[in-house]
Amino acid sequence: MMSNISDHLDVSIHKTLNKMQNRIAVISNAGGSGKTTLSVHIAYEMSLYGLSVGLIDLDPQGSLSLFCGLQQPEPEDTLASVLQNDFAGKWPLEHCWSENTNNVEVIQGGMILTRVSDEMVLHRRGAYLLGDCLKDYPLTHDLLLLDCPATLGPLTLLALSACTHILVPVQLEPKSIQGSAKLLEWVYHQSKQLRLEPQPQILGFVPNQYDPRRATHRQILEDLPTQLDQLGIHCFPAVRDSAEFINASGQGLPLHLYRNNHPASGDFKEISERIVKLIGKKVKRKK
Amino acid sequence: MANRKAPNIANYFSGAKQNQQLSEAEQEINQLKAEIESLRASGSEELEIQLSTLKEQLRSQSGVTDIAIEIILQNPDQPRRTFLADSIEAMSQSLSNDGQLSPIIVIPQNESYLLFDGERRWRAAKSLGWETIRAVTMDAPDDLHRKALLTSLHREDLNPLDKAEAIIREISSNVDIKAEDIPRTLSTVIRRLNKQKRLTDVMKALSDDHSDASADESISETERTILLILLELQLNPASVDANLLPMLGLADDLKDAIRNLGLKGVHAIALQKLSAKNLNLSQAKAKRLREDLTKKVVQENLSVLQTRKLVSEAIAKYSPSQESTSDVNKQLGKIKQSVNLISSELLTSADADSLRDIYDLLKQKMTEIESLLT
Repeated sequence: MMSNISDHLDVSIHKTLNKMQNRIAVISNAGGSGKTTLSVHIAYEMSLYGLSVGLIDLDPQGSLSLFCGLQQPEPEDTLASVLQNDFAGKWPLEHCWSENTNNVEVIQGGMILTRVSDEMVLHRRGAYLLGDCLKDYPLTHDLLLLDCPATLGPLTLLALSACTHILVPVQLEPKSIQGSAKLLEWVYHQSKQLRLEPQPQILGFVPNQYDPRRATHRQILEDLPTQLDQLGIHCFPAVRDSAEFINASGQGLPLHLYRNNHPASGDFKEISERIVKLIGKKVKRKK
Repeated sequence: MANRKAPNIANYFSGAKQNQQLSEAEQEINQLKAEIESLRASGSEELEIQLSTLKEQLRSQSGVTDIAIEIILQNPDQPRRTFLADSIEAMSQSLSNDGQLSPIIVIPQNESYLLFDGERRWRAAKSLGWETIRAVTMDAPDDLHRKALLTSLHREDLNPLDKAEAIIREISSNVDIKAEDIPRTLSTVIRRLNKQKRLTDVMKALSDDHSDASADESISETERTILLILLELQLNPASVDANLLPMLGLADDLKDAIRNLGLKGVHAIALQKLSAKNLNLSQAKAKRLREDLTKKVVQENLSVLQTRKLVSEAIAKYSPSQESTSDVNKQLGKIKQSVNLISSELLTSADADSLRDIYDLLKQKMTEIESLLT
């Protein structure tokens, strides 16, 4: 009888999750681990499947604007305007890569977010602000990607309480791996403390900037999946190190658009397919 | 030169692993709690329907009245034993915001009312400082006491004194006999049946088939009814006679200690020996000594043996001669009784070895006694 009920609970949790918009927070606990690169490329991949994506930048550095080829915004056109008490549902959405797709929109970040982060401490619903806005004024995109700052501060907390899933990009270097391990502890702890229900799921780790010529990279890439497996966390195939990622970001484009058919753009295949499956719509990738 | 070793990334993740196991365990606990809640809810649905039908009937019969909260007594038989502070708090809020939506059900009892349904509302109203609560009244079911008794008799937390009183109440409401005569009547019939060695047989006959036992002329109508009531309550009449009913004769201070200090029945019986007569003291002094020693027994959690020793020591101190002789005489009396039980039937049915054993033992004791007599 007990197991019947827990089956039933599982199903009902599943239903609610399916009904809910998928929101993936891209979090890492170290700079330069490839958060924005990953966010941008997933967004573009989704657009190839005909799925709509909202990219939200929670980083005061505002590097997402750069990667998307957008001008640095005025403060009132950033996420900061959403996190105000008088927000009435006018999301500051900007289309990006509009010559190629209609499916990707961006909510930009910027220095103004540091002020939001200071004010959050005093706000009664501080950590839940973004989630509250999304509840009151839902965005209709098939997927939201929350690009977080490199620290586990108040802004990242906003993303944690608003997301359904978490992707963790890591460099195959001790500092980045150790940071990601601390990040997991932080996620478990905060999810409990914020009483997130259901708790966000960790979709997986994405090793980045993999250089097979480096022994440390090879060694860590070999060990990491075993360690993660013990935690029930998936490890996606590595994204290779390539100067073209840097060049593409300078042009404000995903690699696909900067160098069509560059082999590295194929490195996002498994992640993309996993997320498409998560969204659960029957779609086909455009050739 | 430093040994070149690949970084051991397992170390990095050890904290995360511990953390995850903890939170998994917590999640499991929460899930189980949710399951229990839903099981409870599904089980009580039918009961809730029955209760609300009953409430409707009562409302139309006698109407809803305001009853002073302080004269409503908690149902000692409330099957729901735990009330979480949270759930009382939630009820308090609902009461103060929306008022009392549904009346509680009470049973009139002498000057007061017994709470039948609505303990949560009653507790919440009390915590809000309300003076009255809206209630419908219903008549006590005929067998309410029997039912309540049956469940509480077998609950461990009921003390032997309360049990004994409840049993007397139950018997006197069913049999035409004075309450104070019940212990003696029971004692008599048990002793008589014991002497005739028919106790077990009669009990078996009574619990198996009543008609068979009614033909038995050695027990009176009243005696049989008393035995039947005890058996129906799943009590052993001999044990009630030996262990429970003696509680009724305890001194008031000992009764009080059972109810309020948690003194055990057997200990109370032992302490009862500290009477004015046995101690050769005035009533007041005997009582004071008894109270002191009772406190000691409870506080130091003394065993029955230790308690008996304590009592003998006290008696020996205040009334030395009496204690020793009375004690010895009592013991010898018991031995005489046992020896008396050796019947010819018993001896003929025993085997040769056992007979030889008892012969040797008796002969040895005889020699000892003879040496003292001469």
